Amino acid sequence: MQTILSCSIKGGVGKTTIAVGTARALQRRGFRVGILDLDYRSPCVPLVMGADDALLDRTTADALVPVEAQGLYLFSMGFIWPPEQCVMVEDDAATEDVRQLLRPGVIAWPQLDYLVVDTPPTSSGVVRVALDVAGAAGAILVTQPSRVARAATVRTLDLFAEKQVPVYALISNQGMEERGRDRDGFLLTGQHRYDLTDTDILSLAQQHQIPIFLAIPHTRDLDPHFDRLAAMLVGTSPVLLPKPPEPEGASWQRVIQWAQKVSA
Amino acid sequence: MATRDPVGAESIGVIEAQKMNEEAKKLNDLQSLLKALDILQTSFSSLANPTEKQDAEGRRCILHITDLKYHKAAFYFAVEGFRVHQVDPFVKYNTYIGAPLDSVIRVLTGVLAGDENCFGREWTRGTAQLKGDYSVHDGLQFRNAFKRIARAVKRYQDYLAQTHAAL
Repeated sequence: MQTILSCSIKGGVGKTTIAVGTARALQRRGFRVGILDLDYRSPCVPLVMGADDALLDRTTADALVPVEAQGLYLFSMGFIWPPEQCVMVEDDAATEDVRQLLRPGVIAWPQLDYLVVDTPPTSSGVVRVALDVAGAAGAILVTQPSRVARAATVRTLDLFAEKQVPVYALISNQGMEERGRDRDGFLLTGQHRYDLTDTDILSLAQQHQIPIFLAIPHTRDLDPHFDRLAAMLVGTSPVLLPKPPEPEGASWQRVIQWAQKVSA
Repeated sequence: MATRDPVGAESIGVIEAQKMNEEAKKLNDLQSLLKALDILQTSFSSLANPTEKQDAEGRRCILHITDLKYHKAAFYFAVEGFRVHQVDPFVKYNTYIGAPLDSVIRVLTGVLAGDENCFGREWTRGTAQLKGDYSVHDGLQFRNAFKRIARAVKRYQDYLAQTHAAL
């Protein structure tokens, strides 16, 4: 089973949409796919999958049984928390619960080819645990072409480098309005929706040598875009970003020598 | 000649005594609720289907009332299958549930009133804290056990209402 994380430390960029869309596209290619929603406090995979009425009423003697919806296997705390209620569980307890959900055997997944993990925003304990435990497989980094989202993307890349999480793809989500396709099937795009363009995000992908870059426009017909992403994911190996360099001993020594000179 | 306590220890004592009485009253309520729950559990466990019985077997949660100040330091309850019952503190368990007395009373009152989500609410609010290697699984079983009892209570209440209406 291969695990793919949908990540960004910024909220509202479309992590859940990308996770669900990717899972569905992989399913269309004939794979057996599960979705693990790790958004502990604000889980919305059940809603996006149209399974918000489903309840996790079944358990085996010692494992949680995923809910099956539209041929995909889902686990989300959204199946446990009452829908009308705000989740106020303390951070430590939430992190421990997420660590638990990622431990083999706690969720009785069937035989899967891919497990797509939707992560919450921020770099909180929940996300760090997800990256520590499941991040070795690879992540899709989701962003939008805006200055704010780009800044968060740079920080997320640093998190990936620090945690040594390989990166499959950088997605620039909803940067343009889609106006349809021309007779040859080429995408017709309209106005930019944010203060940067998809090209600005592409340059970030090139700078970090991320193998897949995809600009997904703001459209209702997302399936062709996710099919393209799934096709690229299947044949691609994720890349590890280099860890930020440590200060070299020699440079420290030079500073000490300089300080000694000045004080003398 | 008797004088008033200059540091106000007497009045502090009165407040403490009030709090102690209040806690004792709540504990009495808790015992009554548990007794009622026990009777209900005995009556309703026969209504559970084999899958439900199988689902609830084999795990044991321990419920610890975390905020008792004047009485026994802790009360422990085991949740086994369909039964919630009091046990000694050294019993083996899979998941620890820690909750304040008010929260436990809210859950039990809710169950006896046929409210299915009363445990889920305390869990979501973070007032009931679950700890253990399988705490999500066990918490879910615990919630489901309470849900089943609450559903049965609701059915019974509806039945009573219909019977009264018929009379």
